[in-house]
Amino acid sequence: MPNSDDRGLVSGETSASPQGQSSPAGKSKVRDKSPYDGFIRLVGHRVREVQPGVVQVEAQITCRGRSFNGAASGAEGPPDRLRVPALATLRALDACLQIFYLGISEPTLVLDNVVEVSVGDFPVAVVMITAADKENSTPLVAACPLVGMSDLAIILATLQATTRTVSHWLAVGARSPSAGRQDRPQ
Amino acid sequence: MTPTDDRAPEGGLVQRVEVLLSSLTAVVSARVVLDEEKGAQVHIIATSEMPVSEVSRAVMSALTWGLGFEVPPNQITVVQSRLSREELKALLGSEKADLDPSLTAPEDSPPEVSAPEDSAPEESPSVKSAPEKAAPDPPEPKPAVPDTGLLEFSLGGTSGEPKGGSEVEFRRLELQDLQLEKRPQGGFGISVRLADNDRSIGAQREAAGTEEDCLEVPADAALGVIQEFLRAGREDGLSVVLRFMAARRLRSPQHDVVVVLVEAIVRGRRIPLTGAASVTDGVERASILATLQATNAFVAGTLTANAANGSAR
Repeated sequence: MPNSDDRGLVSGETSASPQGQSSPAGKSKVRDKSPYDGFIRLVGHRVREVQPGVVQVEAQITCRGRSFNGAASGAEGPPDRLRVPALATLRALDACLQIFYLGISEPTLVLDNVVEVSVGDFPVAVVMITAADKENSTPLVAACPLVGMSDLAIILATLQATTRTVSHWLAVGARSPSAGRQDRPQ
Repeated sequence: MTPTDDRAPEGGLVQRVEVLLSSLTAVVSARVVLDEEKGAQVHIIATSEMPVSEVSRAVMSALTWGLGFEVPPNQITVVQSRLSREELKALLGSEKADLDPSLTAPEDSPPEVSAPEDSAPEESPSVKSAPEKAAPDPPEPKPAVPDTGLLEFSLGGTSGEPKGGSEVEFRRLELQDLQLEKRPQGGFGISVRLADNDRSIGAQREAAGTEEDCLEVPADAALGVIQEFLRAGREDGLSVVLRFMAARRLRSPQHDVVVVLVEAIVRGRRIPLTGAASVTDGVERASILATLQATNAFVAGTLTANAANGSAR
């Protein structure tokens, strides 16, 4: 079962702000204060064939004015193909948590599976994730129609499934007693 | 990093996003451009029934809540006209009226774009300037457009940050109440109530009680309520028809999931919407939550737009 630690994790934070436009400091006060500023949103993604038969997907998300990248690679054919964009997204989220989660326990997002099923006669990808912190283990799911190449759709579905939980973790982590510490185990 | 990659055509998703955006109040046409260097850009042609800032806010709301996809305000261009929706559609070629990117404000001329805070179309200083080269040539065989003189456009988006951005409230429906009553003679009755702030709408259905009913009837009931919310507050006559298509339950060792497929029909274009929810509190509840997830994108934008429209009046 793939999780956010396998396949040679390639994730990290970039100093560039979302879209590489203005620095966070350059953002308007209005946006800095906006209540949805802590939300996690997709900035972009890239798909490339790193070697014959192996595809790599990179996902970039933004949270609180900072951008985070995640990448994953896998076989171009099923069943790996559907998992690669979801895994890249989870790694970007993991990079975000590494920076912004200030609590003691390390919450994790584990990709359980991405399956293609027919709903009616329509092909649909279902992303299944387990979110775990020290207290709870919660199943998270989302679905997207499979039309054409669906990397972006699967990335969005993965975010749809996880962002509420991650935002909650970030909010709780910021209030935890250890939130003031400067460094944290990586 | 770009929103998509040249090698990975995402036509299906882009088309769905465009149809989603074109379902918003005041929006006549939407075009999403995925640019390798500039990222995602959204170009909107809108009527003047809502301020540019509110159109921009509705677009952002639909993209953010519905898709979790960030398009910064300065990547959303709203071209607004005083013409009615019908007149604009006639000019732009009806359903296929997609916005020519050339209609957008040149990148090196942002100062001409009026700030949204005072961007009521009539007051915008840019209103008088954009038109001739902005307006596409009317297709000759189309119905005659009333002679209103030059098209008068106002541009927004570059400064399209919603007014009072710190108070921006993206909206979506919540499941307020779900009641199930088993009938002595078999089957069950279901009562669903969805809420948007202080407003709620409910629906009731009777079901025979088969396994399919437990999946489909709650979703269909919820969809009826969602349709009511979408209809309410709109004066442009645009109907977004949401149709329940199918539902399926998936079980694996770690997950028990309901997946719902809904079809949205907007101006004759059909797009599939999907949602999924874990069966942690009953199949019926999961079915409703999956339906809400499937339709979030449409609902978020429309509720935001309708609220803005109502408050503008």
